Amino acid sequence: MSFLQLRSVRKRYGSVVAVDDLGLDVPAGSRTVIVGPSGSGKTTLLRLIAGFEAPDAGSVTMEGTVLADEKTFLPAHRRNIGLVAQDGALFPHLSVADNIGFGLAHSMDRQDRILALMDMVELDRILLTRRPHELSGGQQQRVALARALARQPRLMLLDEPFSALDTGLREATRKSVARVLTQAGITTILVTHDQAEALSFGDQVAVLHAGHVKQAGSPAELYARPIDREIASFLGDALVLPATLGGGFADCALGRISADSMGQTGEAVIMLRPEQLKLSVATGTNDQTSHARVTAVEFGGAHCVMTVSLAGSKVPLIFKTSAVETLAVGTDVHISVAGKAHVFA
Amino acid sequence: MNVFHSRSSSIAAPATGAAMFVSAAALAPLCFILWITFQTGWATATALLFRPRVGELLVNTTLLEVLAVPLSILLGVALAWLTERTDLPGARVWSWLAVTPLAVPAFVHSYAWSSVAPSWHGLPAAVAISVLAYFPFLYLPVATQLRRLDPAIEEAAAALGLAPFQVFFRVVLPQLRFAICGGALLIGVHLLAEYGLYVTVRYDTFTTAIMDQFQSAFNGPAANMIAVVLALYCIFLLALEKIMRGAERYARVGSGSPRMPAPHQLGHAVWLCLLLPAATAALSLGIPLITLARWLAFGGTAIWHAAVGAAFLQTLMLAICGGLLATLAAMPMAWLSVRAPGRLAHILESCHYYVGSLPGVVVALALVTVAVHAFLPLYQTMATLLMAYFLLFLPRALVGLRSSVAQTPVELEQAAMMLGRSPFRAVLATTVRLAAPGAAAAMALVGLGIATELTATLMLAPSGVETLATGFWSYTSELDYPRAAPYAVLMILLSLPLIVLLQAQSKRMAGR
Repeated sequence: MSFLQLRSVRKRYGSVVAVDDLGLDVPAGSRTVIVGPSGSGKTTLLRLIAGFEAPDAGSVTMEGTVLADEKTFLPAHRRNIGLVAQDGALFPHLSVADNIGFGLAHSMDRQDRILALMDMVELDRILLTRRPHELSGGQQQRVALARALARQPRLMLLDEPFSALDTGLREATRKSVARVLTQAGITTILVTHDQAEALSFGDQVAVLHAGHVKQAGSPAELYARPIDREIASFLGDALVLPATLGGGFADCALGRISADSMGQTGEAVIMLRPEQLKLSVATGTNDQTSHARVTAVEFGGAHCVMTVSLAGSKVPLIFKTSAVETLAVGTDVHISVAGKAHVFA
Repeated sequence: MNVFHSRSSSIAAPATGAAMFVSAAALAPLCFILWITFQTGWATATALLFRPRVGELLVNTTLLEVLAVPLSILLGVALAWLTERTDLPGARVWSWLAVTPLAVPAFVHSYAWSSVAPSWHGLPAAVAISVLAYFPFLYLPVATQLRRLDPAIEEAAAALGLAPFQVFFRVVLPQLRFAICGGALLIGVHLLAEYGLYVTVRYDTFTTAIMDQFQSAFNGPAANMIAVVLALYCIFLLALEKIMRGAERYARVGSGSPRMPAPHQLGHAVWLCLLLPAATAALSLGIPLITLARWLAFGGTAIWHAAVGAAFLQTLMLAICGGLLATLAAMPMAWLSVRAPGRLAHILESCHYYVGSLPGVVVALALVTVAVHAFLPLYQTMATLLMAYFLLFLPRALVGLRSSVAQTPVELEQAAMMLGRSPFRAVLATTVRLAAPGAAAAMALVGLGIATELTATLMLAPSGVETLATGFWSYTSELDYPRAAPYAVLMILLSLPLIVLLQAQSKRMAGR
């Protein structure tokens, strides 16, 4: 049985349905990422789990205890769920130490606990007496995490905590947060709209769309086998082509390529990830070669973009390559495919 | 430091000069206090000060402060929380009703209560009516601050295991500290300065004692010495507020979420909670308005004699002239403090601000002394009266002007200069032009303050000049309550725009 269960949860604000018939299972000790475009209900879902909102229908259960359903509602302060908000939500009137110790009872070892927590999230002890506005964005997030960890929560909710940080800092903070939470063995739910963050942070990714979970699974599975075009392109660049399926292959603009057809035949839509495609300069006559030609090259330093048009396909292919592999405009190219194409059901 | 701006604008020097001139005028009451202390001499001063009478006044005034200010804080915070953070039915209406008592001058509040309960007097009446008349000064900043608080911070506290009432005391209340300190100071200073209210309920404070002395013995050393004590008391309150507030500021961390805080559900307590704003509105608005209506009905048309109209025009004229004077005088300082801040600008700005906290009676005594000893022809002229208004309401003008100048980008001034305007003309064409709505609001605030000013007007107005406040006061003193009623009604009507201005200002500060 999973650690946290949401069953047919619905929440509406006036006539706007924010979350609709949502089901989600979070295994104990896992890191689950909830990802989706803005307006998909991510924040509402998080607030329902935290206990800031009560669901209109459905139930939220944690470790077999009902947190909320039609009859019961356990308010946030009695759930022992940790929360790190988008901008940290530190108490501006308290020092770093008092922020971290806010949820701790006044006891002899309070100061030691605070220092231990600071070490745990790699905060310099010099910052102990500082006020939140004297900290950098990354430091604020670490304080917020330490503050939430102090209560040894059963579940930790992270509400886009890295989105306010600059790119370099974001990745480093994300890694250290993941490590801290794993070491503490706390089940974690991260909400984000950043696909790279979603794929790298979680054991499980749930894609939210229009208030319900459209697909959930491991990052690798979602990336390789998205159930539709939207999820495919949300999680990364995708080449989507119409094709005719045969047993284990597909005929498309790229020629005959192997496909994950699962016994399906006839007209279908297939998807390839750009890293499955390989370009080489066409060498004379080759039956299996698709007629492709480089039509534009955009120089961008380490990452260059080549546009390739396929004969028989109006949609040009975009290749991200390094500058050394860039081909001249007008070059006829050969496209080979590694692995199998994914077929949308 | 903004070295670049002060160097690039050659207008900084003349502006500094003008601001220094205004500051010098603002320092006149302080010089008066020092001069009086010096001139009276130690022996006479101790003889005048260490009397049982002065001790009694000190106790009376202090009792009033320590009772009325905390009660106002309780009432103001409770009402602000109910109207801003709960699902109280009709919260917007209650919010307006909590500010509107400011439109009723304190001495009209006491007039109403003495009509309803003539035998109610002394400390209880003084405290209760002071709270009813002045609590909006606390309600307004607290409500504004409550609207600005980031709800994510309260949610963080709840996620850390705090029950709602603990969240209020450990997270919300500490963040209201500045608003409470500021509001409490404003109320404390008003209590020191108030005259009419305490005369009506027969409660002696420093201000009423000085007025008694002044009216019987004119510019005697006794009145002057008590004025020195009163001024010191006021400075003590200013210092106390500075200590309570602390040096630190509570910056809002991060960008904050644009989400509106979810209102607290009152549930079954809603009826009990409705009782507070309803009772407050009934006592602070219902009593004065019903009393006035009764006296108006009782007096009929006879009480609307020509003198009322004359007083109205006189008041309007003084309000416009005083508003214009204070706003013009505050302009150099407003520009300096935004465009060329620095140590000198900061000192000059403090000079502008402190004078507004002084009780009207102290400022008026200072002007009387200056006029009698230096420029006798000025004594009992319009000029002296306008000077008093200008000093008393200078901070009001500066606050409004400063924020509108701050909203005007300096690049516009620079662009105008690049297009060939002289620095002065450039400022005139851009910043002054764009700050005009703010200046108009500042003028209105000053004018509305003048319209209900009683103490300084009683002391300084040339004979024959009667404002709405002094007209009202002379009839009230003769216990001719019906004849006083029309003056009160006109003062309230004149003050209503003030309420709208204050509400708009508070909404703007909360970013809505």
